[in-house]
Amino acid sequence: MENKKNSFIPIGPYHPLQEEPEFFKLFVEGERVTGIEIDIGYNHRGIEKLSEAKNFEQGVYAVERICGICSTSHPFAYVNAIENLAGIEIPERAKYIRTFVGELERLHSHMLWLGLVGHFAGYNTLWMWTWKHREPVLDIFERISGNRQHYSMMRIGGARTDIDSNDIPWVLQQIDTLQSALMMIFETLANDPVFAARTKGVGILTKQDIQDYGGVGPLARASGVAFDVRRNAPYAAYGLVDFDVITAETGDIFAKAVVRIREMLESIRMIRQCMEHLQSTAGPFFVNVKEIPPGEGIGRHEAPRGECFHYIRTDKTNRPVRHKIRAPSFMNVATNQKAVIGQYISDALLILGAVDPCYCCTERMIIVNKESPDRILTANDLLKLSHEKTIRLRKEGGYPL
Amino acid sequence: MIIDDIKHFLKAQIISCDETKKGQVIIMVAPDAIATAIPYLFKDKYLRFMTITGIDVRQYFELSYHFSDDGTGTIISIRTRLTDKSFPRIASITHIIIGANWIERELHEMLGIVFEGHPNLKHLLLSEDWPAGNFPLRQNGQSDGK
Repeated sequence: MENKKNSFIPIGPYHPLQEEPEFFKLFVEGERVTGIEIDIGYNHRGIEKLSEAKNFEQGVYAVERICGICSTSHPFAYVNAIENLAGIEIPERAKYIRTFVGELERLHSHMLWLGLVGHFAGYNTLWMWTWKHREPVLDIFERISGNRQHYSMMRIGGARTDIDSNDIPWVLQQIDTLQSALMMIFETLANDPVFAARTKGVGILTKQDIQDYGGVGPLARASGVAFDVRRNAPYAAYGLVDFDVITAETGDIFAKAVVRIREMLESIRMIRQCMEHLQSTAGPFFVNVKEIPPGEGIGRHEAPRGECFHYIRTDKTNRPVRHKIRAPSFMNVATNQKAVIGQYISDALLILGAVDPCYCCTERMIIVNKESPDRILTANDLLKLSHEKTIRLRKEGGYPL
Repeated sequence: MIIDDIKHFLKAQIISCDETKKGQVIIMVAPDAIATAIPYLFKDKYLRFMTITGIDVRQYFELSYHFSDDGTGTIISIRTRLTDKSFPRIASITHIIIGANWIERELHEMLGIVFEGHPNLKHLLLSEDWPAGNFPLRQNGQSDGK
């Protein structure tokens, strides 16, 4: 196996489990990653151009289709942009409904991520448990909006539907169960020495890296950058409810997991406050918006993955002339160029996944070597590498398998 | 305060400054001022780079470099116009901000703007065999204009 400098490992781009096809080309020297090339665009659907052909009301639902996981993030940022442009003040009840939906989404998105991290680190029990407790969150969505995904709860000027106060006790009950489950998962993970060995000191991003790459969201907060749109530029009810911005200092995968888990507990806190307000205070949940004046507006929303940015320019018509969307992953995925260098191949999956484009699901892996014939490894082989490392660490530490 | 500092630093390079919008300050400069304005905002004022938006306004291309002043929640947009529509070009900022690499590539393929000095100005989202000279986000000319 001479000439190892020429080896590279293509990961991607397609796999049925992935919600975002991307192609990573890892350059390796032995077991170490020395370089990475990232190729995106496999899922480019031209939504920005499409949006120019949709009127403002249709646009809210069109942008909801950008992402299936954080499906309310884009409409949230879109309506913020239009309301910024037209100077629309939404009623207080709508603010709380929006915050409630935004935080519920953060809960289910972070739990999905945590489950995947468990799966890729060889903790399938964590995966099963997290996803089991994620189900009630989707049930809440189904009860309040009619859909488990693509809830369509946003509209320009407020919320699409009201929250039925008869549902609130049931929602709170689900949230209580979820909180105790999360505490259990959090304590187990925080005290597990093997999970710590797999994630501590791995895939570190410094504060400087975050600034250079423009990283956002939990990824940035895990590196000590205390930026959160909800706190720094409050919108909806984020200026009215009480919550903490969670940060960590080390910037490794462990810190990213801790930040996301603690954020979920903050989301639960906010959901309780929203429920309390919606229960006790009645009022309109939208205002009628007739016309959108010419101008430009910027809307931001702290999506589960970070700041989602929408820029809208209008003329006098009922459609935008330009609609620019910058999803948080656009900035975050590029940080892999830094985080994965110098790490082991067996950790690469975890690092690429820690960014939370949920890209761990690799279609195939080919080790190309000039000397030897191509070797094709399946996604399971790559997973096996990661699982073997966990098992080895468990054996070395004398922990039960 | 940051706005005043920027005004003081750029002085005559500022064509106009719009502070009337809620949560956003738009500073219009000439294209050659980008090379001095961006390092000042990013390296001296530690503003967070958000993204660049490019618009085809028929008579010219308009680029806005959006920075976030996270302390106050204000977005500071440095805006410039590229009037040469046959060969729109501007200095790349990728050597100053690594995070601008992808967005410049995206603007290059979508609007046909050349970022001079960019280390790797190839397609980002579109396929490599996308027909040359066809820019999807242009309002007329090479694309179908719809």
